[in-house]
Amino acid sequence: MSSAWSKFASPSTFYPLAGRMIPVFWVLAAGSLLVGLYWGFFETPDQLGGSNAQKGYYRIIFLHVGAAWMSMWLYAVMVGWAAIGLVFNTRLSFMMANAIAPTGAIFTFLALWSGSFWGRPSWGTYWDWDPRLTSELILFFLYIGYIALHSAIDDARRADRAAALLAIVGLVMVPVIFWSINCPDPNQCAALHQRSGLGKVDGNILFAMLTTTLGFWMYSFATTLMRVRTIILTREAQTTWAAETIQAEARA
Amino acid sequence: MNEGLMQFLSQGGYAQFVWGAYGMALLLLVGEVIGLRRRRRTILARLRRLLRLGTPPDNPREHE
Repeated sequence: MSSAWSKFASPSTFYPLAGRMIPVFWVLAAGSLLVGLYWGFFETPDQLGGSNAQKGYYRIIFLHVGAAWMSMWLYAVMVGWAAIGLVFNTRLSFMMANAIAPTGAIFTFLALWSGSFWGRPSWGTYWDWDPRLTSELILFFLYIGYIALHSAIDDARRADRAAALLAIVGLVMVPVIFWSINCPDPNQCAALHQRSGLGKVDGNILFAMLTTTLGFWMYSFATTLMRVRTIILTREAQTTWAAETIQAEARA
Repeated sequence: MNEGLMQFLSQGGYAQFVWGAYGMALLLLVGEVIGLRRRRRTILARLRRLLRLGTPPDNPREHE
């Protein structure tokens, strides 16, 4: 590992760096979300025809797809940090994984909730045990499990490792969600997620979807960095740099 | 202008579904940020107090 990386692996270096990045991500998040949602509500048709006709409620898609993508992406990133922590034994890596979990859980919940509210008017049901919905629900339980397991173990380092292992084992769920898009037999479950390519989606709708997703991604950066800074201060409180920072924040 | 607003709010008659979904998102995402700010303030205050008392905080717990 080059010395440049080692420097960034140090919490004391990362703390102020993260602090400077947070406002940038907030601006990007706000901008993307405003543009994306404006576009989604005002530049798209009020209803869709075709084989899977949709009325006004389809606009939930901008929230639903963005939240679902983030739920999967954040989980993968969380596992990435957990794996780095296990391999290189770097404290900050585990702190990053811990920082991501709550935001990931929230987006997973929003994917499920918005999906429910979309499913009721369009396909007649708030819920169905189709492969994608079920696996997304399991992903939600994995996030909660990660957080709960980490809370339950007193020793921070042990908690980090145990939760990291859980996260890694659960990674199998992400490809399951991503590829389980066809209900094999429409008589067995509601055809909520049929195979459809992004290329077939209306340009304005696609733009709004991607922009909203970008907004959620920037939001996740901001909240994760905010959370990790608090985690860093808590864990590193015995060090001089942290003590000085804590005192300085009091005056700020 | 008013008609446009009413049309927007009603979302083709599906207001409860569209706003039910987006409303929850607003609630949770704003709530998350507010929670993060509060947590940071609480932890800073606690750590400051501990430092002032001269007892270095040991075995720090993230989840209190």
